[in-house]
Amino acid sequence: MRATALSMTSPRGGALSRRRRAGLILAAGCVAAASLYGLGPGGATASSHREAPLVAADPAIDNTDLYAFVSPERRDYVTFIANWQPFSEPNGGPNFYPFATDARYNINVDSNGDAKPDAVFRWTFKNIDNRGNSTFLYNNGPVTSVKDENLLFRQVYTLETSFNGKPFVTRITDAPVAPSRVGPASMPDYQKLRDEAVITFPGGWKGYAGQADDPFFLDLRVFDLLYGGDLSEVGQDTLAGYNVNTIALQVPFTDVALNEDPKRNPVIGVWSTTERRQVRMADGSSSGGWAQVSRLGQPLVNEVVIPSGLKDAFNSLSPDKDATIPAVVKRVTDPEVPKLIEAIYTLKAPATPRNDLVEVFLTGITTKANGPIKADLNSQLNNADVNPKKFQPSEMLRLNLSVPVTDSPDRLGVLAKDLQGFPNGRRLTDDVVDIGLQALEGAAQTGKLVDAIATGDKVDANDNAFTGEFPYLALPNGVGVNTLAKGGGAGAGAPAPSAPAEPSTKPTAMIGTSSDWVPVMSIGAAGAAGVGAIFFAIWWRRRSRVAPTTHPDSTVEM
Amino acid sequence: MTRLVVGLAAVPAAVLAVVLVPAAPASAHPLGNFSVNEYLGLTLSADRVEASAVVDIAEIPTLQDRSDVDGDGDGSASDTERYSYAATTCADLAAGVDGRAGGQRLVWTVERAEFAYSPGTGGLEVSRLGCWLTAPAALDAPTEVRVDNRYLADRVGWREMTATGVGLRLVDSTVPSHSVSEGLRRYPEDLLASALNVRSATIRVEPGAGTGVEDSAAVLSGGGDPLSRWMAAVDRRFQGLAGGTLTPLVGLLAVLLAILLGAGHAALPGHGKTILAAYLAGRRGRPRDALTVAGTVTLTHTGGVLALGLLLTAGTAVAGEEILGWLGLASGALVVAVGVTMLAGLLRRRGRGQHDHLAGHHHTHSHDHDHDRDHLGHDSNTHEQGRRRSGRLGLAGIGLAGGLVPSPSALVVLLAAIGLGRTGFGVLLVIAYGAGMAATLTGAGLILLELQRRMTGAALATGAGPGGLITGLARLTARLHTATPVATAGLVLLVGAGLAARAATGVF
Amino acid sequence: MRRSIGTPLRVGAVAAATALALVLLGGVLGRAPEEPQVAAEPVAVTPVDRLEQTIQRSQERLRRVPGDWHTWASLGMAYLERARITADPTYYPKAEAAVRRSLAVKPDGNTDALVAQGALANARHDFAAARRVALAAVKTNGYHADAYAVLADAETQLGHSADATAAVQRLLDLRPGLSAYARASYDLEQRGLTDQASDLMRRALATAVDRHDMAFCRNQLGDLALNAGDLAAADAEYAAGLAAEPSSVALQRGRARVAAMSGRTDEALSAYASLTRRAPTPSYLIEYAELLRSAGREADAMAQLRLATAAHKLFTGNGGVDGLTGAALAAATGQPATALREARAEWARRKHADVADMLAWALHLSNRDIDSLAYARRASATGARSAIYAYHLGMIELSLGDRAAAKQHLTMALEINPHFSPLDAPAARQALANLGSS
Repeated sequence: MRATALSMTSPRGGALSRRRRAGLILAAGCVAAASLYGLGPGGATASSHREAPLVAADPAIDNTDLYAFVSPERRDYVTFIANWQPFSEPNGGPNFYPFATDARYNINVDSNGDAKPDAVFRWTFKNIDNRGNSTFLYNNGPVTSVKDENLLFRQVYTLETSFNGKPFVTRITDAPVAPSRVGPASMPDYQKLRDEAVITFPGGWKGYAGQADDPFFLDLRVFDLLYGGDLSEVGQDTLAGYNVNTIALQVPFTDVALNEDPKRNPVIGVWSTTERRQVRMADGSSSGGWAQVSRLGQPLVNEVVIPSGLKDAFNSLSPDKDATIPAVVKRVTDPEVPKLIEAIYTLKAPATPRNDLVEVFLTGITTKANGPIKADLNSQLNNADVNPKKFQPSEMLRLNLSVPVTDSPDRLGVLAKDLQGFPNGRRLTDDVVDIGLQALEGAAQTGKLVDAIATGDKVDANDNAFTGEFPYLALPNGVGVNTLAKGGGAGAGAPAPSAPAEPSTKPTAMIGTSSDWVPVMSIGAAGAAGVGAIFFAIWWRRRSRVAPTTHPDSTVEM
Repeated sequence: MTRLVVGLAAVPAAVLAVVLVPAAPASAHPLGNFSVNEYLGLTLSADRVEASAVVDIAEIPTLQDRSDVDGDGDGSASDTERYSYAATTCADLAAGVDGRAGGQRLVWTVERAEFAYSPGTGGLEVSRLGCWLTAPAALDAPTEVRVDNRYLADRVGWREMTATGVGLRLVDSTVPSHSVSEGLRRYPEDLLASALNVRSATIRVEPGAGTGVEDSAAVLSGGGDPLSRWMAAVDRRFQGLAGGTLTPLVGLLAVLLAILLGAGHAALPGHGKTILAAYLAGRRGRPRDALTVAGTVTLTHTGGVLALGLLLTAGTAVAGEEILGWLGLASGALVVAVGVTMLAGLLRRRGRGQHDHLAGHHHTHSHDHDHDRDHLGHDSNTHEQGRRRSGRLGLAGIGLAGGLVPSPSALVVLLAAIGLGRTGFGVLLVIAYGAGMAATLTGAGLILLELQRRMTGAALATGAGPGGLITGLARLTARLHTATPVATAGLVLLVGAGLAARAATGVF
Repeated sequence: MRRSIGTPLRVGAVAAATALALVLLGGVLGRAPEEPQVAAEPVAVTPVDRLEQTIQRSQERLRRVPGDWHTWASLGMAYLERARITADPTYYPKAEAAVRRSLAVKPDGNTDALVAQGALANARHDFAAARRVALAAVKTNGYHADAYAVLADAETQLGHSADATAAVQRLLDLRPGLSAYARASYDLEQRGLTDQASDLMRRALATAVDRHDMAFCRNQLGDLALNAGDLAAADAEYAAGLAAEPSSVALQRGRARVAAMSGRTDEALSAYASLTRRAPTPSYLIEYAELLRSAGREADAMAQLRLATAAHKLFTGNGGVDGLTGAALAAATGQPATALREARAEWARRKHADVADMLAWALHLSNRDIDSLAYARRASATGARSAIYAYHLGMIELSLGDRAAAKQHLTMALEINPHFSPLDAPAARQALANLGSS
């Protein structure tokens, strides 16, 4: 009774309320633990890796990435890395991924800004096929060397170069290509095969052609933006676990700079192309010239900037024609993505025309083109020996060779004040999706990152680490991407009968059997904490009952 | 034959037979005019494997086979001819179904064979072959069964397989237990799915409880969302533990897992948390109340599971789903009864006119009232006790209702354990399960109470409190408490009615 | 006081720690056994079914992003490919629905969907509609290679050879690859340049990665060799194709033809029996019937022709149009009037060389040789090296009394391929013998 009057004032201090507070916390902890349990696992085991844009049924010529950067361990050398044939799935068949032998793979360099190549590096490939006509045996035993006779199918390449329009000169013939990695049993030491495929040329060049881990890291679901999706579901490296076919080359600055003078002319523009021989039918299929069937300069231009109706045109045209297509220029000056982002995130799109993007994509960042970005970074216009009247805006990856190599590269490149990064060339660690998004929202011009999209696609690094030396890419993956989700396909050793049957869908198994102890453990830990909390609560209650407090305000309590 | 070499995109002419053309007349064979669709339904029991096969043959193959059926060439297929054709073809089918149980080949005998025609499109007929096969197998120990369907493997068409167990538990199965095409009678139309192409099934079986409960467990715990599926997966793991080799460590782990599972299941919707919330809110409950409800729920649940489990093992004639449906109905009815009791009590008290005073009085207290000592001399002591009694009864009712519907996973575990002869262990697991449930419900109740107390406390403290909004909300709640306990009683009633209705739709 | 707070805390901590330890232990114990390491065995590399991968990826993507009109159109094309490869017509309605969905999401400037529509029209033999749609697609996007492929197919079947060649050339210029090389090969073959046609088809084969593409190229190469009478080379191509894709009906038919032309009639008949079970198309059934007839099994031949008629009836009942097959069926079942009617109707629709040849033969069967001569000459005028064209022309000329020309053309037919048909080759030989003796 007397408690009632006294407790008109809410007892905030004292053991009573502390106890109560503790009880509440414990109860909350217990319930939280149980609810965590009830909410299920945090890691997504159910999502698929196979959500890729459709690849043409001609994957060998499909350009997927181009990197250009000053070699960190050889400061006078520039490294070009060009990748083809994305989504090469290790053991996804099993299968292997040769380069096309009827195509030419090129890396082009423009040092004087006229959008025409001044240096062309050209690779052509040849098969050495000991399989016979009717078997598809890739190897008949472990492969310990690129020339191992157990490897029944392999490729070699020839590298030719042409500088300043002169005829092509062969640099090397029949150099070994690192084979597709078909599994740890067949290729127990792939590093050795990789090392054998790294060629040092006379004169100091280094070259490599062969399979490698796909160094690109992004969540492809970012592009759902273009089809009515949003950026809510991101965070998974869609390319994790896949391989690509890589061509890498390391050459000294002097070989690619204008007039062989990298001090006066440090900026080069780079793009990669694939060509196939043309055929004239009118006179009975005698071969004509070569048709460009794929082209790549800066990353994501084809996906994000060029509209779908122009992708085919873009692939076929050489850079010197870019500025002649008004539709392409319009998409750069009036891009679609900022409008989509504005519609979804109410983030105001920067005002058009986007001359800052013209600088980023078409001319290089320079003060000499009357663009809004007041910095001289990577345009051929900044080369001393360039005739500005001959300069042609075009889409290519532009690298300034004189920017020093930084010891701590930032994945946001130039936008994070790391001038060695994208869009000044492209390093393997640059997060081009985030940089691209920021640039599209105007960060290049303002110099400030846009907060609303600061997390970008939430994939900030490749799943495999890069090595510190040429060719820098991780070894190709040897394990299938979808082996966990598979219902048990044909074993690697069994010659699979090519009946159209596939393993059935497993309707109830969302978790692979070897990995469901992880969620059990995690919730077990949480639950254990909750259970412990219960014990604590009961003990506490009993304790307080045995020894009541002497607080004057307290009523009798249990 | 140059004229028959068509361009790349052109297809052999009549193949275009089905070329959709939207105006396709309704046919029993929407999959095409020359497909041969197959369905194989496996039933696994302890001593044999039964397979019921259906082959749905489209117009052209039916026509092609007609000469085989019509033995005497008289143009019509008599009953005898059809029967003998069915027998021969089923023998071929049996030869094409390659089954192995624990490595031993299954030898099929054809128990029954049927073959019939029915009208198709274009004035042609389609046909349907039904074969019932059986093969002896020793499945009284954990075994892996693999069945491959290679009959007419090169023909275009739908291939489907299902597997169910009778007296066996299907621990792991690559095929579902129900046919999506209802035995090749209705093919689902999905633009984003290719025709089923399931040609093999791998099933691990273990001796155990009947499928009735399995089905209900699957029905109740299988949902489309990741949460349910995940729970189902962990349940299976739990079941695997209970049924596996019993070392002390595994036993401890199983008990712990039971506790956690119980906690988790109680965290899911159901088990009376909503009602508990409404009840406590309306009754300005105390921690004791929360504990009471939790305890009651646990006891009821454990008892229910034990009772139902023993009942099911005794007589498997009862379908698990039905029982659960009835229990759900009973639970809902009970909640309705509690709600009615609350309402009646309130009305009675209002008639006596003492309610408001008590309400105000109770508002200011922030501790329990259950000790008689506290209220010696209270002028409403007896009334208080009466209220308490009816309150406890109400709480017990809530608890009973919450625990009345046994959790399927607990049921299955108990039955599995009983089936393996570890009844005691099974009971222990169920009790541990109940303890976990109690923990969660207690916690939930305590939180609710504390929140409520905070809010009312803040409402009374003038100006003090976390914020204007919360203060306002608390004041509103306080006013609601004083003004409309009837509303909360009504809420309990409604919820109970809803529960009962939902269960009723499942039962009837 | 401190101690009283500490003890329950400690108890709780101990309880939690024990529980945690138990669970961890259980987790470790409860792990499934590791997958055993696969021994180093020879790695057989079967060609991928890229089409199936594409279809599955597209389906999954569209469930997630239903607004992806580009993938809807690709899925439609993929379903069409599947229908072509498996001869399973249930994919046509799916293809059409996918294309419609793509157009619903993006009605304007959707070249991909237009191209898919054109491909669908081609598959249904509505070549005029395909041509219209393909031209519209090319107008919206002049660099879309597939649009030119669809256009080339339509123009070829319509008999506009110059336009067809132009479209194929544009395709070759844009995107040299399998689809361009294969179409160019067919174009050259139709003009009689069979060696270059083989070369181009071999180039196409070199770019093939999907097993179905490989099977297709091998089949075309095999047919080219077979039509030129080179049985050994043809058999090698078919065998190589079957190694990549054993379930290909077209390749099995090729082998059956090789067997028939080599005189292994029983083997050929059983091969036809099984392949017509798998793909009971009128064209295969007619070939089977001819073979049966040549082996003296007239009743069986008529049974197969009845099947073919039923299949064709289903096709036309569903709104399909194929006068060429209709005429061939009618001719095989001894109904010249129907054959003539069907052939004429088809000629009105499209002026392809095959149709000209069929019309000529139908007229010949109706004893109207004077009218038929013009059409038969027109078929041969394209330059195609076809034994059947030559045979038909020779028989018509024989019927008209032009013995010299008949002898020339009948000889040519047998030169091109001595076993060009199980029934007609012996007939040609017989006719030549008669010509020679008199």
